[in-house]
Amino acid sequence: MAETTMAAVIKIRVEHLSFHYGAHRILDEVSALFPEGLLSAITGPSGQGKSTFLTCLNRLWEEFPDARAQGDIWVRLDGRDRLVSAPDFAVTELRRRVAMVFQTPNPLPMSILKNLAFPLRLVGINKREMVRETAQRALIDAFLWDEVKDRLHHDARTLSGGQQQRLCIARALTLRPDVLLLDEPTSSLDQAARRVIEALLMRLKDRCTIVVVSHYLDQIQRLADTVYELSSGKLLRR
Amino acid sequence: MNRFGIRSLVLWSWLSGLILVAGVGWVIGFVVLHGFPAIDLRLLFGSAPPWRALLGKVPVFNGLYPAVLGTVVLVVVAVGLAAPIGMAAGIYLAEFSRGRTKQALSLFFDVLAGIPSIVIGLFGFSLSIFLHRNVSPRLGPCLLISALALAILVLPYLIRATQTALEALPAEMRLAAVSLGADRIQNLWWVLLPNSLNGIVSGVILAIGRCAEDTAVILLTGVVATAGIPRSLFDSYEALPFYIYYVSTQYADAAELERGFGAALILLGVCLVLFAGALLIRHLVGDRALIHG
Repeated sequence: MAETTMAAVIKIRVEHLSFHYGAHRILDEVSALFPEGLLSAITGPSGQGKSTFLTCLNRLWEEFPDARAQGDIWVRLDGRDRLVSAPDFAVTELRRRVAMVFQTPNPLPMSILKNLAFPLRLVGINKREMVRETAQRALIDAFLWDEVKDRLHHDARTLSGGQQQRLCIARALTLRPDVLLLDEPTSSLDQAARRVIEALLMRLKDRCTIVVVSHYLDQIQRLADTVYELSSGKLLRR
Repeated sequence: MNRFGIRSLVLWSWLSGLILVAGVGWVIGFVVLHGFPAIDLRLLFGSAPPWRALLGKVPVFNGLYPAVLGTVVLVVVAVGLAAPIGMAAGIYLAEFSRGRTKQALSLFFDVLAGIPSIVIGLFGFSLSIFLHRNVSPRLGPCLLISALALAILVLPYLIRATQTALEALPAEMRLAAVSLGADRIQNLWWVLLPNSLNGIVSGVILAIGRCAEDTAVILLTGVVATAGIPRSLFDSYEALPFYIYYVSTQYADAAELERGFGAALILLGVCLVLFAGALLIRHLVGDRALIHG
């Protein structure tokens, strides 16, 4: 772990993180470092809490009943380390800066444009031109613009699975987050769609720190700069 | 279950559905058959010239136009009062209350749903007497009191419709907005409610129908046989269900009974128009929230 610390700025620092669902322990005093501007992968057998670990980074776990987390997670934002669980750190701000893409594409049941406008609206950006411009840029970044530019007002759920997932990535990018969390982003997609998303992730590395959960070892080999394996509640650097 | 059992079940379900549709069709057909011949301008406006009556320039004495207006105003005010309160209570139950509070409130609203309308009518009647004695002698049974009592009557429908619509939304939809940094109110306002509109509007339609047909409540709270076009919310008024009730209990000849059927058909028409209004609002709000706008 030491060489990583030396080599790059640490974007996310996880210290002694434990996680419980009711009486069931998922994570046991887990620690990890995620360097800035790199793609880190978390792998391991299914059902071990990889997704849960990801939800700790943006505090999404707080939405689940009976869930409990202990330990510290620091995210480096605007040049200083911030404790994600600090009372003065609004969870909404955290989630805007540490964006997340889910395993199953989850476009909101709205038009394509409205999906992209949604995060902007949350922060009070409503100006039509600005929204359109940002949406277009995000769609271009997510390799989706050419496919949807003529049907921005169509229901986002009419897109194919791969397109929906790229839309979700585009939506996560609209607010230019510092960190992008992806939970098995390609597991519900076919080979072709998977390749597109992988190419997209490689491109996005310059722009933000990426933490991706994946159980495809070949995919991890192609993409990841650092790899952690989660097994039996422990997270080990590989 | 064996094949025979499954076939019987399917057959039974089909038959039940068929009987239901046939029953509704029969009732509506019967009303149309008897009511349609009675419907003409005279039924609506009596001896008053229709255009001048529509503009309120001449009073209508022996037509149904004042009752149509009375019913429309009654329904709009009652549902207008009940909808915001019912929706807010439904939102609270689905999104914010937990544990015992939720159980207690659910029980309370179920009890409210089970109160016979005549009892709510009595409550409205007592309220009007109270207001008459203690606030102003000018107050008494009137359109507003009726609307208020009807609003109480239909509140449970609106609460339940809103609650179940919200609770039926998939968990992924809830998380989608939250993971993008939406707070609870933003999530509710921009995602959850627009996507619950269908269920909520079903409740509103149920409430409209209930307000339009109820006779027991209005009987005790301000409806009268002749009042003319409603002048204000503080006057007594005419309403179609009361006219139908009145005619069917005291008709003197076949022609008068036929006018009762005509009124029933008009009442169905008024309900259809109000339903269409509710659906149009749903469409406009939904379109604005989810597609354009």
